[in-house]
Amino acid sequence: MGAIWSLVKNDLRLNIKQIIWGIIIGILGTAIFYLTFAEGMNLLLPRIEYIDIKLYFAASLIILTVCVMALIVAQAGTARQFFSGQMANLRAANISVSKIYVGKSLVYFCESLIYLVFITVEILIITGIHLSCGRLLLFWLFLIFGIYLAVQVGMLLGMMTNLRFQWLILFLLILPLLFLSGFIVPTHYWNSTLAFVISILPTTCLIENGRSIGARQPINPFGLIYLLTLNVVFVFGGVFLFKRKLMR
Amino acid sequence: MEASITLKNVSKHFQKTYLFSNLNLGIEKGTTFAIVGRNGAGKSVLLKLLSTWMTPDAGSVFILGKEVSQAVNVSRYIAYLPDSDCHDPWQTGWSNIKYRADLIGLDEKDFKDKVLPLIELFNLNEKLNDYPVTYSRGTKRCLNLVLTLMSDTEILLLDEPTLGLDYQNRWALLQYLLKIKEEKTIVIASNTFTEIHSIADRWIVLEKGVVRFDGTVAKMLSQIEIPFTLELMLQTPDEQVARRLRQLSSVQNVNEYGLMVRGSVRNINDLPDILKQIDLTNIAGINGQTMSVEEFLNQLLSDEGI
Repeated sequence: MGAIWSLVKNDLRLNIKQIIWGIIIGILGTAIFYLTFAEGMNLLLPRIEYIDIKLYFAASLIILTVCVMALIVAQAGTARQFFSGQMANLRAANISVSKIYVGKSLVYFCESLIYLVFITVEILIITGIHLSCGRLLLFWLFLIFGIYLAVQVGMLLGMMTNLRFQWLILFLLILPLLFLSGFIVPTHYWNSTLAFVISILPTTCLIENGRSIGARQPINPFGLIYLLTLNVVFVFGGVFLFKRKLMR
Repeated sequence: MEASITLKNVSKHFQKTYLFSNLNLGIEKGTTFAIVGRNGAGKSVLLKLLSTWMTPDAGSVFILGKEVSQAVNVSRYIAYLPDSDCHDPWQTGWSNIKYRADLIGLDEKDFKDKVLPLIELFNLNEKLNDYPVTYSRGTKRCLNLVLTLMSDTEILLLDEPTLGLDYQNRWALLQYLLKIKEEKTIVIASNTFTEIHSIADRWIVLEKGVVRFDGTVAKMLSQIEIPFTLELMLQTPDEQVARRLRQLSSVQNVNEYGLMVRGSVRNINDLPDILKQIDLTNIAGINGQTMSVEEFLNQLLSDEGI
């Protein structure tokens, strides 16, 4: 544990400037998303399924922005450290590959948690939504699992040798999937096959439950178990692929 | 003698080319083992396999009796200096050292006892507040050496450790290795014989992934007669020196390179006589090199008819 803690502490200390820039850009990006989806859509469609459009998009916007930031932070960080040989250098300190993987994922996770706090506060201020402490913590609990998953997907992307593919996959596969997973159109509007496919996306689970928490509706507790299971699977898969990449 | 590292039928290929095929090797505990070969012979890959940084495609690697694929945390017995930089260029030298000490779990006392003397040894004190991007090649190598040696592990794997080091630091490193060689298993890869001649107990000479020689210096010299290369540095251009050397039957392949005359001396015992027969007044310096890897391999391969 000592090595993992040293790794997290050192990387966070080195990344302070980048984290500050991340907060500024994240806040700006969220404001632009809010303008486009909440304020812009409000001009055409004030409500979706009896939910005020601003409330409808509030949770989704936090999830979208933080997940995208977690993906990019993890993908860019992993890719840079593999290309520069820094990831291999950690092996010179006799740290096992699994510890390097867990340590690095925790660094990106902690960064993303900082963004989560700032972006949540921003959205709550802009929309004027009042959430009880309990609901806010529940919302963050869902997001904690979601962010760690996004970090791991980002790290998997960062392990790919071809940098161009990494960005293409991120912007032309993962981002559209985020929009598809109930961001604009609720899942049950789609035909049964597509609705099933969309419902198994982890982002759907995040967005739908997040929206339910904001609208004081009941949540689906299986969503948490589903996200937890996916995280465990990704940790094992990630360590395996990380090992292969680092020891090839 | 107990083996520290054992390779059993190890094969490693890159794409369709086999670098190693069924390689067997045992390195005894407490010995200093040298891997010598030309560029591309497979020295660095072999060290990566020994360090567990790389996994073999077939066969097994045993570290202190534990198989690498099965045993967890075998790497904690090994300190490995790669041929490339192993520090973070975005942290100062001091941060790099403190971070590594944190990662390997050195406490304040260990840091004081083990790391500070190493910093002193390689004269890094004045450079530690700078970023390694501002370092010279040799200073970067010194930082890499401190980062590697501070682990104080049972097995020490050094890939071209003297790369870029000046005379003073090279000497400091050799002194340090001589001091610790009794307690550790040291494996050094190099493309020259001379720098590790003083510390190696056993040598292998690699050529295209095949061990062409395995033994001691005495065995090497008994097996093959390696010529001694004599280099005479002149003060001013002087054709007489080269002409005189060409007249001597004990000197062959005499060539001039500006202010330097180089020739091969078949038997090192002839050297005093050769020096007596040339006018030394115009000589600025004399260099000699024996046991060149190139010469050794050429003779070894020609003897084998390859």
